[in-house]
Amino acid sequence: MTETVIETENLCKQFGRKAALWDVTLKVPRGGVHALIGSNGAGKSTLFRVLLGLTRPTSGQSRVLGVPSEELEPELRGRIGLVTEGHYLPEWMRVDRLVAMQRTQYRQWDEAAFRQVVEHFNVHTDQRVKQLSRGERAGVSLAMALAQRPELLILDEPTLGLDVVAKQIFLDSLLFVVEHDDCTLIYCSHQMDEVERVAETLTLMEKGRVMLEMPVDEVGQRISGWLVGLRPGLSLKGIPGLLSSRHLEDLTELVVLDADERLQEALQTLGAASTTQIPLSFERAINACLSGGPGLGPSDLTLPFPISRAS
Amino acid sequence: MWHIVKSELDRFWKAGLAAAVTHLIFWQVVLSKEPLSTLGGRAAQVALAIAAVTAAAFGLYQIGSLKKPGTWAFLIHRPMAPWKVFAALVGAGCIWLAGVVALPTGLSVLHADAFTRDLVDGRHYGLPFMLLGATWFFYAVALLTRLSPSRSAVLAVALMPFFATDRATGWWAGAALIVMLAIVLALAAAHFKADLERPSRSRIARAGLTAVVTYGFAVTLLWLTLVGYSLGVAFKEHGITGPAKHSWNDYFPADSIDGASYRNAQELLEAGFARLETESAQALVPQIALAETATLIPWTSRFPRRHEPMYNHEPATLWDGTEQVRWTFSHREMLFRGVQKQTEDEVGWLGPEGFMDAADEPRFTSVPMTSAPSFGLKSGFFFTPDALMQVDFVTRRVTERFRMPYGEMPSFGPVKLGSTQLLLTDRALYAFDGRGWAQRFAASEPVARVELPARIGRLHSIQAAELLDGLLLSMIFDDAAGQGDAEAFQWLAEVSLDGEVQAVGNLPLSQAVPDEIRFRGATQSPIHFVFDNLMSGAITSRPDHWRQGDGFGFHLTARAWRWMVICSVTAAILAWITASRRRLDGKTRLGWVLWCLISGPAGWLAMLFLTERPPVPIAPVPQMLGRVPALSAVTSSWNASGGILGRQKP
Repeated sequence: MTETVIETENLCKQFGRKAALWDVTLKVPRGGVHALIGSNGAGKSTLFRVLLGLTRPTSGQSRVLGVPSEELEPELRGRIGLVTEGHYLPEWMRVDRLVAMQRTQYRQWDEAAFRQVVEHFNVHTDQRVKQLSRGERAGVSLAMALAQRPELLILDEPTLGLDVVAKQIFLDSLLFVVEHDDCTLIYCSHQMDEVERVAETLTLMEKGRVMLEMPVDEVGQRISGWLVGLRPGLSLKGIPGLLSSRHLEDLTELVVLDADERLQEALQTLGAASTTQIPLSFERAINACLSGGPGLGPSDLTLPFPISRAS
Repeated sequence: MWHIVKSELDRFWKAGLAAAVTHLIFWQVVLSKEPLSTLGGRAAQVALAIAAVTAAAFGLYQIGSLKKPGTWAFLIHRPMAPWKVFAALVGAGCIWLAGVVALPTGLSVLHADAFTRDLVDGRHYGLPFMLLGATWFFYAVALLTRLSPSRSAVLAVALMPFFATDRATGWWAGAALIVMLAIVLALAAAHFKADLERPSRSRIARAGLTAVVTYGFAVTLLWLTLVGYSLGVAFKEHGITGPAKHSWNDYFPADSIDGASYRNAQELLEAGFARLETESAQALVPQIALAETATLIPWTSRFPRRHEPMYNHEPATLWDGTEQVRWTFSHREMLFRGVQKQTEDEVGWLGPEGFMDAADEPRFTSVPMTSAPSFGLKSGFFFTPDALMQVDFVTRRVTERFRMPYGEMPSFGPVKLGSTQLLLTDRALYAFDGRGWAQRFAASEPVARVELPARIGRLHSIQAAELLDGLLLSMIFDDAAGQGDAEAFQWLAEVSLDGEVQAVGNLPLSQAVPDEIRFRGATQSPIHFVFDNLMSGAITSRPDHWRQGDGFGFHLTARAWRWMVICSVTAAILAWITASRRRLDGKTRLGWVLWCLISGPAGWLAMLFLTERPPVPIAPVPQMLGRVPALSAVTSSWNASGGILGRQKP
C-alpha cells in the first residue's frame, strides 16, 4: 500500500493558449481530509479530471493509488469514489434501480452506509431522480460514493448550490462516515467555512498553479493581520511576505505570511507610527493569498465603506 | 452491463413508443393506398431515409447527452471496462432502433400477409431487416462522429455513404453493409474511452480512420480532377459561351461501343454507311444528313408479374390530358383506376374492353405496361404481353392496334419516323404505314418486318432514317453486357417501300477504347480502385472487371505511371516535413511517409487532418507565491499567539 494516494509531478494542462494547470507538483498522503481550494477557474476540476484519467495532461505525470492516471484499470477505479460538481445522476431512473445498478458493480458495496446517509436526507428510494431536490440528489450521490467503501474519495464542489440546511446535513454525513472509515478524502471547494471545518490540510490553487500547501491549523499561525500607521502614498513593495494591504482612513491593514523580525524592520524603515496585530478570519487569510501576494495584483486596495478600527 | 442496457431503455422508452406508433401508422396509411408489392423502390428509399435520419439523430443525442464532464465521469468512472459500457449503450440503442424501425415495418408486412389479399413474399419480409441493417449503420456512424475528438469525425461521416452506396448488388450489398457496419462500430468502440479529448491510441482505430479519411480525400481529389478537366475542355475548345460537353465525348471513336453511346442516330448511320466503302453506300451518306431519323432502345425483356413493381418502380399509369384524369393500374383489381387530378375523386375504371363505373369484369389477365419516362410508349398506348393497345379518351374506346405474332413480346414503340411508325418486339422491328396508323383507330398490319440479327439481350439501340424510297436501319449490338462472349457490331440494312429487307453490312465495333483515351480524362489513384472494387462488391457484380483489368496498373500508360510516382514521392516528402514540424515520433513519422508513398496526395491530406499541431506557447501565468517546504513548518514564535479564529470540528 502506497504512502501517498495522489502524486503529481510538473503537471501541465493546456487548452489552446490557456494553461489550466501549470507545473503542479503535489503529494497527498494517505488518510485524512485534504482540501483543495481556489477561485473559479483555478484548475481544481481539471486537476481531478487529469487524476482520474479523463483528460490527458499536456506534460508531466500523475499517479493515483500508485498507478499512472492514464492506466487506471476498472478494478482500481472501483477503489476511487467520485462526487462530481452538480451531482449528476441519471434523471430517468428510480433511486432503488440506480442503486441496484451501482451495487452490482462494486464488490465492497456497503448497503448499511448507503441507507444511513440516505436516511439523513430523507430520500425515499422509490422516487425518481428527477423528483429529488438538489440537496437530496447530493445526498444520494454522496451515499453511493461512500457505499463503495473507497480508498480515495474525491468530492468536487459537493455543496455548490445547496441551501444552508442541506449543506449542513451533507457535511455532517460526510464527517460521520469518514471518521469511521479508512478513507482519504479530497475535498474541493471555494467555500472557506466548509474547508476550515472539515479539512486537515490545505492546498491553495490559483490560475492553474499551486500557491500554498499547509495544514489548516497553521493558517492562523502563519498568516497574520496588522494595522499600521503609515503615511498614504508609500510604496509597500519592500514588506516581506505581504499578501494584501488596504488603507483605512489614516491606518493601513496588512496581511502578511510568516511575519517575523524583518517585518518589524521594514515597517520601521517606512516610518510606521503604530503597529497592532489584529484577528484574521480563515476566509480573510485565504482570500488575501488568492488576491494578493508579491506581484499578484493590486496591493493598495481601498474599501468603498469604512470599517471599525481594531483595538 | 445488463443494468446499463435497462437504464438506457428506461431512458428512451417513451420516445421509442411514440416513434414506433408513428412508424406503424405511416406504414398502415401507405399500405392502405398501395399494396406492399407494388410500392417500388421509391417508397423503400423514403422509408430508409427517414429511418437513417432517425437513427443518426438518436445516436448523436444518446452519446452527446453523455459527453458532459460530470455525466461522462459518472458513466466511465466505474469498475467496468469501457468496452462493456459501450456495448451496453450500443446494445440498448440497437434494441431501441429495432423496436422503432424494424418492428412496425415487420408488423405491417405481417398484417398485409395475414389480413389482406395483397401478395407478400420473402422479399417483403426482408424489408424490416434491410431497414434495420441500414439504420444500425447510420447509428454507428453517428456514434463515431460524436465520440471522435478530432475534426476528422465530420469528414468520416461525409465518407460513409461512399461505402454504403455503390454498385454492389443482391446479397453482396447486404454483405458489404455488414462489413461496413462492423468497421464503423469497431472504430466507434475504439473511441469510447475515458479521455475523449485525445484521439484513440489504438493502432487499429487509427489505421481504420486513416484509411477512411484517405479514401475520402482520394475520391474527392479524383472528382475535382474530373470536374477541372471537364471545365478545361469545355472552356478551351468551346469557349466560355459555347456548348459544354463531357470531357470524354470528343475522344470515343465512332467505331467503338462506347462511341455509340455518345452519338445520335444520324451520326451513327452516317458513320456506319461511310465505313461500307461501296459507292451506293457512300451515296446514301449525304441523304442521311437530310433525312428524318429516330432511335429505338429496347426497354424491357419481360413483363411484371402481379404485385411486382414496374421497372420504373411505379404502377402503370395512363394520362388523360383532356379531363385531367390519371389512370393508375391497380394490382388488387387488375384494372386501371381513374382519379381526377384536382379533386382526387375517383371517376371510374378501365378494363381491357373499355371504361366502367365500378370495378368489374372483364379484368386484365396480366399486368400491362404503360408509358414511363424512359419508355417509348406515347400517352394512350399500353402493352399487354401479346398486343399493343390504345385508349381514346375522347371516344372512350379501347382498341387493339397490333397483335404480336405468337411468342413475341413488345419491347419499345411505337415511334413515329416521318410517315412511318416503328414498333420493336423481342424478335423483330415492325414498320407501319404512318398515315393509316393515324387515321384508323383499329388493328393495323405492318408493311415490313425486320428480323433482329442477334438476340435482343445484346441489342444496344436501333437507328432509323426515312428516305424517299424506303428506310435505312442501323442496329448496334454490344458484347453481351460486358460478358465478353461475343463481338460488338453494327448491322446495317435497307428497307424498300414494299417491305423488302436487304442487309448491306455487318461492321465490327471495338469493345474498349484505347488506353490513351481511357485515361486521358483522369489518372485515378490506386487506393481508389482498391476500395472501389473490393469494398463495394463491384467485382462480384461485374466479374469482367478482373478479366479486362479495368483500372488496374497494367492498363496505365508509362506517362501516367510517371505522374503517379512523382505524386507519391512528393507526398512522402511533404509527409516527412509535416511530421518534423508537428514533432511526431520516429515510428509515426515513418508510418505516415510510407502511407503517403502508397496513397499519394490523399494520404498527405489525411495526415494534415489526423495529426495534431504541437502546443502553442503558453500565455504568461502569474508567479508562484512560494511553496512551504513542509506541512509542519513552524512559524515564528512572536506571531504564534496571534488571535486567529480556530477551527471547530464536530
